[in-house]
Amino acid sequence: MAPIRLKRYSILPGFGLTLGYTSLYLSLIVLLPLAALASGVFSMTWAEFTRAAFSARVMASYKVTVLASLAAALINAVFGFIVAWCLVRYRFPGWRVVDAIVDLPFALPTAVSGIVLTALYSPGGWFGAPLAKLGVKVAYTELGIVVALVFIGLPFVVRTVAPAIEDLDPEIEQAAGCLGASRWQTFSKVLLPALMPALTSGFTMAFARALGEYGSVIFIAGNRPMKTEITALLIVTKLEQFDYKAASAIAAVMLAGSFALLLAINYFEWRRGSRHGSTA
Amino acid sequence: MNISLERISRSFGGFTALDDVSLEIREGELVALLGPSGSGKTTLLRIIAGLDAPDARAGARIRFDGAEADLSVPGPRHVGFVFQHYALFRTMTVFENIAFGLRVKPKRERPGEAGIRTRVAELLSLIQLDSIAGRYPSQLSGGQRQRVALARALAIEPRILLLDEPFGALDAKVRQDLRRWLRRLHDKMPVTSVLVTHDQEEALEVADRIVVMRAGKVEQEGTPEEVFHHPKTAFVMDFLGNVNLFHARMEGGHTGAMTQVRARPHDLEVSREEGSGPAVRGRVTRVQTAGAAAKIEVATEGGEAIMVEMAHDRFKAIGIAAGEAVFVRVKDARVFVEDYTI
Repeated sequence: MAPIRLKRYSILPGFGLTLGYTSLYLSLIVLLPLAALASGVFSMTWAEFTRAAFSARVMASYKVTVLASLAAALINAVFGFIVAWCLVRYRFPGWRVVDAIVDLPFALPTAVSGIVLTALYSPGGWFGAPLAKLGVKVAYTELGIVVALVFIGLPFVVRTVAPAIEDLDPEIEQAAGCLGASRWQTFSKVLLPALMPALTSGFTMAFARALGEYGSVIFIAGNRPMKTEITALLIVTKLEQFDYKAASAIAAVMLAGSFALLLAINYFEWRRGSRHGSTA
Repeated sequence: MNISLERISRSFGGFTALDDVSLEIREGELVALLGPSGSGKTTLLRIIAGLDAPDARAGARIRFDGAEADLSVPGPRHVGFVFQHYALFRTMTVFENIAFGLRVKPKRERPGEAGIRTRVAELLSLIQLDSIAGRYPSQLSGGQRQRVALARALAIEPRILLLDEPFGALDAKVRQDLRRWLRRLHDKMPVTSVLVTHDQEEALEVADRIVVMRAGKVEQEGTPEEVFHHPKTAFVMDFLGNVNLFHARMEGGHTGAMTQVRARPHDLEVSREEGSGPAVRGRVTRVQTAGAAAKIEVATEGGEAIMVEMAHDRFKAIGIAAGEAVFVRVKDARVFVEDYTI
């Protein structure tokens, strides 16, 4: 039997160096804290774990966190797509400013955005007051959580979808047009399917970001137990009560959940992509 | 469909891509627009397709079978268009790519699912790719992709087929096969076709008529035989094949005037003897026999390089080798009025 060759010669130098660095870096920055988390969890008994991680109040927080994140990511997928389309396809006065504004949610400290959004949407605020007249309450409700998550998730969708739109070959649209397709048919049958991978990954990133968001949400959410209390807040509450074990139990469940969701979306996207015979 | 273009101009910023071009394309013809890059051939094709509009100038007019097209409305016309880089829909299978034009038809014109299947199957066998209907474009070779693109364009039964350098991105061998195939296809289904190319061989081999373009204008149009054997200008002669340039002094009417004489390599003769009639003295610098004809490079006493082509049997009969002193005689040559200098 031929010996298994571990070392393969590659035309690109630096494989050993970069892999070594990658493993070290990931271990220190990502895996070590996660291991600490796991060790906290494994020191608990099963009964302790379920009491901490699956009590009614915690379950309610999972539900509101996941649903609000999902709603926000979906809203961002639609409207972020429109923003990206507009920014790539057209040049207009003030284009640069608009382009920079998209990144603002990245840069703003989340607590600042949380406070500003709360002020705007509270019953006395600029948006809150007219909405209250219509009977819509945003601040201190689930709706408020979604608003905050939409705010922080927008750049993720725009920045992943825009390069994909830029890469679209204009000849594809012209070909569809010559074949008699209307603008809408061209968009829905040709362009959108080609942009789906980018859109999905933008959606995934916005969703993942929303699951873990804390700063911008806690001000506008009102944090009523069983109703508008997000999981991240519960973890912080437990920490403040020096209940480290409970905090790590909840964190572990959340981590496992997010990881499974991301993996599922990636798998789904990979299968779709491999059908087209492309790796993208 | 007859296409009639009148006084079409198009400029991009300061660059004039088309300068007052008029052209008639007749029903069932395969016309090649031939020219170097920047000569305006692709712009003209895109204007016929409605992918671009001519400058709004008095007299600019496009007619399809006599009916005038509204040039103020942008947007593609329903024509078969084949792009150089295929422009296939990569999220669709070969089958769905070809069926696309049928599926997007308005409901009352759209064939049923069975009708679509039959039509696509017909086209697949036409392009000899029946077995790969389920593949995606990324799984095909360049030649296969371009055939799929052609089938997709033909699916809507267009009355005009426009091809923009369709074989430009392919290997030489595949290109040759495909252009012969295209010619046979056109003989079978004579759709009025316009082919843009910068490859003179391709144009000469495929087209019924060639329109040679230069700097936004039509330089000459005619059958392949006409443009090849009777070029009207030096540009056409140079563009359609290899040319040897001789500087000569006129005798007779314009005695003393300098002119340029152009002769194709196969219109020259090489021999060891001076013989009668004018001949150029030189030395053979290189002999190349790999190819359809033997090629002999001769350096004249004036230091100019001359390329001579002859059939292999003739080459064997005279048996000339590199380094020999020879005489080059011109059997046939052309002088163009534009080249006179006094």
